[in-house]
Amino acid sequence: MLPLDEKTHKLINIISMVVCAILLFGYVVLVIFTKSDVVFYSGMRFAIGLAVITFLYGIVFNDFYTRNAKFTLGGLFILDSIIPLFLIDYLGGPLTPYIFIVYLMLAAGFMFNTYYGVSIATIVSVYVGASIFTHPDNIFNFAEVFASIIVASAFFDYFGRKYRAMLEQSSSLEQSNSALSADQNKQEALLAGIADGVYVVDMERNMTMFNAAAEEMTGWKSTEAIGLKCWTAMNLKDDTDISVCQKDCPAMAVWNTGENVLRDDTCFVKKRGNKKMQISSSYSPIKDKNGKLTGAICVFRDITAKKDVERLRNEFVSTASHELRTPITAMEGYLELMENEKICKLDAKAQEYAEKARNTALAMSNLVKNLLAVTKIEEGRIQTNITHFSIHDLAAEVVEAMGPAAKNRNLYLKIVESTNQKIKGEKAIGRSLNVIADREQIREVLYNLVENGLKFTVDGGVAISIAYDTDNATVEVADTGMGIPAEGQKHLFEKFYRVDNTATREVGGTGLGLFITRSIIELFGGSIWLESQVGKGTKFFFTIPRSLD
Amino acid sequence: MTKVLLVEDDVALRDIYSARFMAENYEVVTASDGEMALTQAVKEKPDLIILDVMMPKISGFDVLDILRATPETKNTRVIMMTALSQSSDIEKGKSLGADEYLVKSEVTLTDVIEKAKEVLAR
Repeated sequence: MLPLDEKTHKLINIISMVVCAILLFGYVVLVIFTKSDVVFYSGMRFAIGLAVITFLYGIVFNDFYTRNAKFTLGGLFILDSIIPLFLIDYLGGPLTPYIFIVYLMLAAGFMFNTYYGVSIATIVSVYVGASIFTHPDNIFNFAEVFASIIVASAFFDYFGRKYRAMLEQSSSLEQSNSALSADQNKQEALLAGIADGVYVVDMERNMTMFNAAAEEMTGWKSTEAIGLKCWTAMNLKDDTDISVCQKDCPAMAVWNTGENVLRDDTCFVKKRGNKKMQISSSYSPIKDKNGKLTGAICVFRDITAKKDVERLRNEFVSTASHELRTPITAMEGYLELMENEKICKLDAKAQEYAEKARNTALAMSNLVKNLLAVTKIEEGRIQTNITHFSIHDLAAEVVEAMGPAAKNRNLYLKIVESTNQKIKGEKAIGRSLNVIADREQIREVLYNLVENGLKFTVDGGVAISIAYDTDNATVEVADTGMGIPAEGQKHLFEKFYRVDNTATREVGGTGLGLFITRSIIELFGGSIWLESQVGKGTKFFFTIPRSLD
Repeated sequence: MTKVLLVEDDVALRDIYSARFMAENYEVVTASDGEMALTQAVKEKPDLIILDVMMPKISGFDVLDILRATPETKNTRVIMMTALSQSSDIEKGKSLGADEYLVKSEVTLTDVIEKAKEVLAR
């Protein structure tokens, strides 16, 4: 609205106000001192009118206006309405053929503001009304002018409002457009600046946004990717090279669960160069302000290098473990020979130490075996031979195999009836009580749990019980041992975790057993958990899916 | 005395197995690789061959194959020993004509002796 800068404008205001003040003052002085008619003649009037207008301009655009808007505007409207009076007078009265100029001013007034228009109309009407009284012979002509001013005001007001509304709309549109595009620019700048790839899909999984980092990582330009289905640019595959997009789409998972989804097992092939890139990605739902789903957003980053490092580390552990096996086996072998009376003659002390050495070698051997199992789990390379088998029979086998070990420690080891049996008379329906898993690996699991139970128990023993529900067999391995404190329970299944306790330090163990056990159980679609009380005992529970026949 | 041919490339294991078998009153001859194994098998005519799978130059499987193809050694009892427990390898061994297949990490020396006795009794 102001074409000039603040300072210049203020300067002009002040100068004009000063000039006006001088002119007004000069006029008043002339009137008072000369008592002359000259001052009322056209030239003078014109100059006065100009002065008044300029003065008003000064007020309007001055600070005073902004602080006392209503007051100054009101005064402005009234004062400005006097200008048409001068005009009519100059043109020769209300019956002048040039009266349309006054109408123009009226229209302009209403265009600016209803009140302004009304004040012009009022003052002019008063003048015309007064003229009716002073020139009663022209009453009809004057009345006509009077009436037309009223009617014209109504029209001008209506159109004035319309015009202002239109201006308002287009200016607010412009404003929100520029705010929007400023916002958009900000957003684009933000997204372009992020190092992670970001893309957005709508509910039909069409790509609607694809940032600069995503372009760089995938080799697809956003102009190419946007509008196409998500899997054109982001054809995700999992660890086994199977496409994820149809059966295991993370965006669909987000919409189904309503929650954030994290994946670090997906990869895609770069468009140019065919390089495989593994990514860690986070998916979130996008909702509109009513909470309705409108799409999903994915933020992803390249973890190929990280995964390579992990793979190399795993390979190293695997190779090292393999290499360790040979000398450990040899050591165990020699120690066994030493203890063999047919081969060596040892005194009691030597015999004792040889036995201890052999047990240590056995522990080392177990550790190596567990390390190798862990590396296989990390790489997802566990081999399985899935069969249907009776968990009850397997448990019986384990009990028989470990019976002597339990007896050596004066502990019992037995299978008991489950107190959690939910389904009775299942056999009547003809469904078998078999489970589906790798029999040898479940044997390992049972072996592990029973061994743990025996290890940490001094009095009493270990009891195995099995309960069945519609989907799973739940196996419980309960001991009467020292129990596990709540703090330890949280970390129990982590690698190398051993409960920190002087009583358990002597017991030994690698700390890998439960990690491996959990990995195996989860591999077959089961879960494992425990209940334990310090001083009372521990119960481990795990589930295996039942056979469907 | 029952003669056992021990085919094993690791010197310590060869030593250990020999000592053990000898303590059980078996006569033991050894070979440290596949070629030597085949020569010894023909020359010494053992009653039982304990055959390691993982060896340099030619593998235990190849040795077994050749043994079964040679008339002199066609029916010699063979127990295969391996460090790996791949079920595919076990199948392969059995299909090539091994009498038994043992995984080193899962059996003790005593187990090997037991198995040897059992196989020889067949």
